[in-house]
Amino acid sequence: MKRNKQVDNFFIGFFFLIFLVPALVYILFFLNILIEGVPVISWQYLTSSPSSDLADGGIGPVIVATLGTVVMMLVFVVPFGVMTALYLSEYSLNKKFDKFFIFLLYNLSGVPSVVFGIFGLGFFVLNMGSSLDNFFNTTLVFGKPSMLWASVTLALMLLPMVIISSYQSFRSVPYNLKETAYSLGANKLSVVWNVIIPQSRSGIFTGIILAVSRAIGETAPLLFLGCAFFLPSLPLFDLCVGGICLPLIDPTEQFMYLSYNIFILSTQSTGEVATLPYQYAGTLVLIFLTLFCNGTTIYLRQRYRNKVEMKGIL
Amino acid sequence: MNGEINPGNEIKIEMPPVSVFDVKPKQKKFPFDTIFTFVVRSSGLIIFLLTALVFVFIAVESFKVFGYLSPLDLIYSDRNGENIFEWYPTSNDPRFSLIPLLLGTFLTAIPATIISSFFGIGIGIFISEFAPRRIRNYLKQLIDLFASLPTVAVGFILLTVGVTFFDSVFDADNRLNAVLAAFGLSLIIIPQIASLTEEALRGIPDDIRMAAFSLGAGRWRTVKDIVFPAAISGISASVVLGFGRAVGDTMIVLMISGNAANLTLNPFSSVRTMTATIAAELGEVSTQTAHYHALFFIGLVLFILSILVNLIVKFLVQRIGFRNNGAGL
Repeated sequence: MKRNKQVDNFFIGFFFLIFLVPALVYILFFLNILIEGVPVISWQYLTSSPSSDLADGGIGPVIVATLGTVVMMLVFVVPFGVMTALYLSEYSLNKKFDKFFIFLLYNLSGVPSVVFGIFGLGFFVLNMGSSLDNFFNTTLVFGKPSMLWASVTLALMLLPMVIISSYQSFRSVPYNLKETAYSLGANKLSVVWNVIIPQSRSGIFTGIILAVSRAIGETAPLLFLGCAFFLPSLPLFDLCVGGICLPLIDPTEQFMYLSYNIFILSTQSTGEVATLPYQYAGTLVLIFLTLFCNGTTIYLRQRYRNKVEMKGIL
Repeated sequence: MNGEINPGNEIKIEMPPVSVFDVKPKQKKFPFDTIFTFVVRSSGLIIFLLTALVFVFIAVESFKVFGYLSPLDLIYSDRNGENIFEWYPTSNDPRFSLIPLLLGTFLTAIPATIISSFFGIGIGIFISEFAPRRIRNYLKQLIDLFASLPTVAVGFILLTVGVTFFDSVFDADNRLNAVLAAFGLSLIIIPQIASLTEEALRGIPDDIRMAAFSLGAGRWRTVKDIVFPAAISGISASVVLGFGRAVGDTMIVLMISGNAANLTLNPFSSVRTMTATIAAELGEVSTQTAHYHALFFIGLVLFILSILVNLIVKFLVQRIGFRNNGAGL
């Protein structure tokens, strides 16, 4: 018995050591970024536009363009993701076909992101873009790498994740809730709208926020889809509806992306010493954005788990 | 017998006098339900077609490479009776051997998988079995948080700080090399493997641990002989997934593996992986050339690798379900 205890203590210590080594690396990793990055961060840095050598100024337009791309991606991802998940869980036509579809989606979610990059360039930009140009009789409006195709490619890459996450939460809605609603005379649409979607809200949000977090951190598929390393200002145009004008980013032009900015600065910048603090600050902002999104999903999942446990008790 | 009607007991059903105008027709609403069904189903089909298109398009575009090159050209180039394994797609005498790229991919992915399996499984076991119960959940959440670290941030830090450090520790041939990239990759794969291992171990019911304790096994023996073997399918699935992520990652290897397509087995030399090749060359390639389609072919290889990883994981996960049902625990 005593020997048992000694062996146990030895192995507990051993595994604690295994835990400690990467933990220390991560702590050093974050400390490095924090120490170098925090002094640069200021309101002016976060809002002003970059200078041409990127050793001065801020990252305001970069953040705006990044968030704009993400929002545009969400415009594609959210409706199609949720409706496809609804199709799979509630409106399915053929079980065998659905099984194959889910298999495809699982495979697609594991495909390396750079492969989506070549698909985006090959299909969206060179095929679809030039066909659209022919159709509208324009020259190189759609048939060039741009923010539109970048966000569509990101959407295609992240759709499987959103679909699978929403599908699983639709499936986990307790059957008796649906039955009760049907027995009260509700039709399918109102069951979906009033029972299934509210019940699985947190699953849908988890998928969407996770998609946002991955989209912000992703660089590889955007390398050939119109990311610019430096633009003096964002291409803006005014969308006017009845006298009210709204400045929007022109989606058919080049854009800037935070992660791409860090990549270019750290590998191809000329004045490395001068730009180094700005690279750290950009990395800090990037990590903050992704970790914030991910933290939200973890919080949501935790809350959801508690709610399910409560349901079990009641 | 059923059709016969006794003459004595004729059943007369009194029908109320009904005229067509008495019955109000059911109020026909605007058929939202039907329209919504149609919309949902068609959007499902659109997405299905789009996902299928990704597979088909990449396959078609990559097979066009055989219009320019023979399949053997993708393995070696025959120059004056000499077999050359080189990837020089833009030189005057272009050579398209994929072997150095495959070697580069495996030289970064396999060390990364080994390092992150060791630490990831260790951390998973520590959190699930040995850590104090109170902080277990927090540790798990922290690890889930790290799993989403942007790869470009990892690459950047290793490029600015890590390179110098590794250069002083290992006396490597090249400053940027495969082992450094493997360390970078493990920074993002360790949390993933740790999280999945922890989930696999947590899936083993506590009754089994209690039974082992009551038979006199210590905590370590319980883990080693009972819990770990029971969760081996899930743990190996996590390792395979980690390998898939190591193969598929682009930014870390693009930034710190050195990007020289050497034909080498030495992990301390610069290598170039398949993903980095696509990332570095697709921007400057002109379309409808052998090079363009060869890059698509690399994409297809990556695609097939990821599908293989997925199938193995699916097989392993099915085994978990089978055993848990079969053993009747």
